[in-house]
Amino acid sequence: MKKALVLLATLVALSCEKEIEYEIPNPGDKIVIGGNLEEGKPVAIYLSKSVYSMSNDYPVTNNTFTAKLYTDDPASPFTLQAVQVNTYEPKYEYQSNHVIESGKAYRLEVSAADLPTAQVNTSVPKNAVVQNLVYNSTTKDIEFEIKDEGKEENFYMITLSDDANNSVYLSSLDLELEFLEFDIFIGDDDYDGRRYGDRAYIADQKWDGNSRKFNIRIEIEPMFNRFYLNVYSISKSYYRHEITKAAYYNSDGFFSEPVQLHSNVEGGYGILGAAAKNSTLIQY
Amino acid sequence: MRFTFLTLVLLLSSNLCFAQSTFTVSGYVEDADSRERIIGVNLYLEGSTTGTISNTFGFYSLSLKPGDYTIVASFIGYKTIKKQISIDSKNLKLDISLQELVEELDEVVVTAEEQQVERVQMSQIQLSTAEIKKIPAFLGEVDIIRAIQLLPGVQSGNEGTTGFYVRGGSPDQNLILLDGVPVYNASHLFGFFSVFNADAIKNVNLTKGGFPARFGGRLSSVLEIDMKEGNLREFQGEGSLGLISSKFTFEGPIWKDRTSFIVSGRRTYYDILAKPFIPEGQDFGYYFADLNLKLNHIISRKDRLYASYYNGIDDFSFREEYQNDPFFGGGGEGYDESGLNWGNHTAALRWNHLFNDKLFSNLTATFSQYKFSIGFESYYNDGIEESNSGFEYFSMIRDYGLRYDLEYSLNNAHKLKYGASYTHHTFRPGVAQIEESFNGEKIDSILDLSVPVQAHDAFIYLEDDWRISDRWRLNAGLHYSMYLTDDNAFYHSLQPRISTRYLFRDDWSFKASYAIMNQYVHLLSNSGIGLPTDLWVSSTARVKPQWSQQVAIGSSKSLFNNKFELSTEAYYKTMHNLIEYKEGASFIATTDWQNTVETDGQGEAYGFELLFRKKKGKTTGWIGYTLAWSNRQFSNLNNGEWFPYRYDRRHDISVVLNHQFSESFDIGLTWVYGTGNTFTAPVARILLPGQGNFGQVFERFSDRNGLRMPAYHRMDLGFNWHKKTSWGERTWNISIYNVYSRNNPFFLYISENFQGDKRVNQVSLFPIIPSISYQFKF
Repeated sequence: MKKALVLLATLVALSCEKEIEYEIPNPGDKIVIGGNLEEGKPVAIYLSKSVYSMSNDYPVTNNTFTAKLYTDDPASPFTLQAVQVNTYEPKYEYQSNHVIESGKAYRLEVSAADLPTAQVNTSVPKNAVVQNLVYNSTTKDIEFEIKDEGKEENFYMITLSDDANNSVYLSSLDLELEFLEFDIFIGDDDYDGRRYGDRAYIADQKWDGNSRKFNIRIEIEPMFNRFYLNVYSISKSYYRHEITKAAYYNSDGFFSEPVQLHSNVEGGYGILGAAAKNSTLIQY
Repeated sequence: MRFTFLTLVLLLSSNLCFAQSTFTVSGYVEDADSRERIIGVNLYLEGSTTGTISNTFGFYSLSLKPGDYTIVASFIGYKTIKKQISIDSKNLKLDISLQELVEELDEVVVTAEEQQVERVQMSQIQLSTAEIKKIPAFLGEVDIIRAIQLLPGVQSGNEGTTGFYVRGGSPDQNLILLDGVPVYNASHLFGFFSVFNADAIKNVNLTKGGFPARFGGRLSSVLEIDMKEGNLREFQGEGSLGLISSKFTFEGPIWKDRTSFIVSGRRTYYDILAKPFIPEGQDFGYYFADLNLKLNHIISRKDRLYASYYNGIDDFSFREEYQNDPFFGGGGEGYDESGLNWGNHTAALRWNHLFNDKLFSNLTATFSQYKFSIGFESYYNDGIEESNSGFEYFSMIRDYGLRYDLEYSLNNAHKLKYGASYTHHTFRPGVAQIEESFNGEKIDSILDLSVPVQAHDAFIYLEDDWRISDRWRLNAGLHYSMYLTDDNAFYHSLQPRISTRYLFRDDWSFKASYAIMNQYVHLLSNSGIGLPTDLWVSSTARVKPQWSQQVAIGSSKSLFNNKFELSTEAYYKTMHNLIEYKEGASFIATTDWQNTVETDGQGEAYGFELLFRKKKGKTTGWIGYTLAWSNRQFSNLNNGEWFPYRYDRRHDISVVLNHQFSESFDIGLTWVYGTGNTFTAPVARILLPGQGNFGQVFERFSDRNGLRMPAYHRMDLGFNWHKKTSWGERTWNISIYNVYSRNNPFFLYISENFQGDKRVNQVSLFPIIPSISYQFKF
């Protein structure tokens, strides 16, 4: 009986958690593209190599990739040059002087020795049409409309910035606006359902082809006496990537499914987003 | 609309009554001792294939031409009886009393209910409480849902939990009916126990496919659980004392042979046992409890009333009191209190009425409510300032319903069932209540984080069980449902249902079925482990109802003089408009739940099931095997590609055996094997610009549910020693869960040591767990 109890106690103690022989499949190293093609700006992206999840290595950028950007410009393709921009990661940025244009299609091809070639096709959306903007300097509310193009999916990102291009926090009671950085909720002294962040996203599913009114509020006084309302028209991939990235940050871990960052890279990982900005100056 | 429909069917029934060319034998089948009515008794004419089975209220009706017959009534656990009847020129009322077999071991005498071979209904399995009680118990607690999980086509979720997954469907696609009332959360203790107290239950019936038209509202299964009615003749009691809980059931007549009652209660006592060990100033505890009540009143032979009620609760609480806390400057007193509780209330009032020997009706009024609540409260008073703050988050679903079912035995070839149902749902999927007071000034606010929804849910149905010939039977019907919400979403659906059976030989049949099912309620679950935080939500203008099509074919064969039954079935099911949380979404959303879900899900499930069952003799039990696939597709999940469902399980085997060595001793054994559950794990790490353009490392995961945990297998044993005593009977039960202490995976995760080396770790929940319980009956 005593032996049986000892055996039982041993079995119980050994049963909770243990290391097991289990081989997580290795997908092999791949090229990772990270960046955004923004209308009116030159190209600047990060390139790195993925590492196996069970290895001790860390993914880093390097200057050994060959990256070419294709478009309908006669000078295409544009070769991107590696430039060291930081002493920390991301250390290298791949740049080109070619200025991105809205409404155009682009293809980025990246290759490196011993790695499969990665490529992305993306189109830069047309600029958003913003109209009927009214700013109430007492309440700090900004009311405006976005006129949406019909027959196609459109995605928008709304930000506020000052002359030095610093982000200015905004808030809204609009439940359809997605604030991905953070929300303020329980514990807020006078909670009225208002949500806050430095950017808000929205898809045009419910108002496709029509105008939609927005009401946002500037939350932090800008460093200058004027600020900008920026409405970005963004590609679907960029929108999906931002949504999944926010979900990745906010995931409940064990109690929710793991979040896969959205990628539009064929043969590799990462994101090459596309955006066109409409800025309106507002006197604070 | 409903009134018109009912009037029509009643008129139709009345007209048909006058058209009879045969006479009717009808009545009730009841237990000879308790007068409790028996469901599913097989009644047939000796030497013929003419027969029927008793319905949920023990009623049967047979149409016969004038002549002399021997009617046979048989049901598992009861002595088969034969009655000579003579039909001349009028209908015959014949109530049948069956005598329970007590410790009868004669293999020939113990007989079963209607053989699977004979039934037109496929994909349906009935279990009696007696069978369930023979299965080894987990921690001494006999559990109905655990027994259901051992049937082919039914899969358990995670280790130890009582969620069940039928033919690739999700748990919300199972309609669980307790005395005809939907139970929305059937779990106690995060799913480790089900809410059903086996001592209060009479019968369990699971339908996995080939749904008759009377069923609706869920895609994957209907689990009907009938409570006992209460002994009409004498007082009886039974109960058990176990390691974690005890229960007691008492039943008897209020008015002999007219009115009876049954009351049954169960409670765990971890909180009471732990109390002496909790430090002063603190209080911590958990318990769950159930209460079942039922009244049964015979008004006349034609009218009977049932009233039943169930309440179950789970309660976690924590309270800490403090005095002179330095945090508050060393003065005053206060407390912090937090709690988590959830529970169901269900109630049913049923009225059986026999219009005539051919027309039976049942009117049911129902109430069901499930509420989950989490909250905390903080109080402080130092004589100068007094403050109190509290917060509660709750979600709730509440139904009021009325249902009318009629059964009309037109003749032996046609048995019609028709009826109508209306349910009013109230959904409050996320409500935050905040209360603050400071020196007597109070601020209260209630905020619906999601818009509450009121919904009207109605359906009508008609089905005909048609004996086309001695060999061929058909059950065909139509189910029409409508759903209207207060945000003006209106949906309706016509759902054809058909099942057929062809007898190749008397002991071998072929079956096929097709059913369209519709479901207007959804369960939002982001863990799949049956947490009480799972939210029941309504279809709305944005979120469409789920619907499915299922086709199944199968064969049933009786072997060795009906001692064994072999059933095989293959099925294919498609599911549409499934919903799932968006990646990373949380159950406490700061926005309406509709913003947190993907709504365009599709699913497919297909497989093969085998059930080899022995119901007679000293050794009884079954072997079940399932080969299955279950996949999902959402445009925004897994890159829009199909992926395996969370509980996609290729192979599932269950062996359930009970051997009665003597009148006083029997042993039960179960062994289960299942392909490992799916999971998602990081396969790579990537660098991307993160916040502030600093490089940030993200994990790249495998395809959703693309990996498999190690296989699951486990053996349980149960030993029962019975003894008759002067006051009744007592049973000592020793159960051993996971006899060979298999480390079955609950979840896997990747750990990292100080050197950065990574390993896969497996967490298991239950090693070998022996338990003992003492059961008594008087």
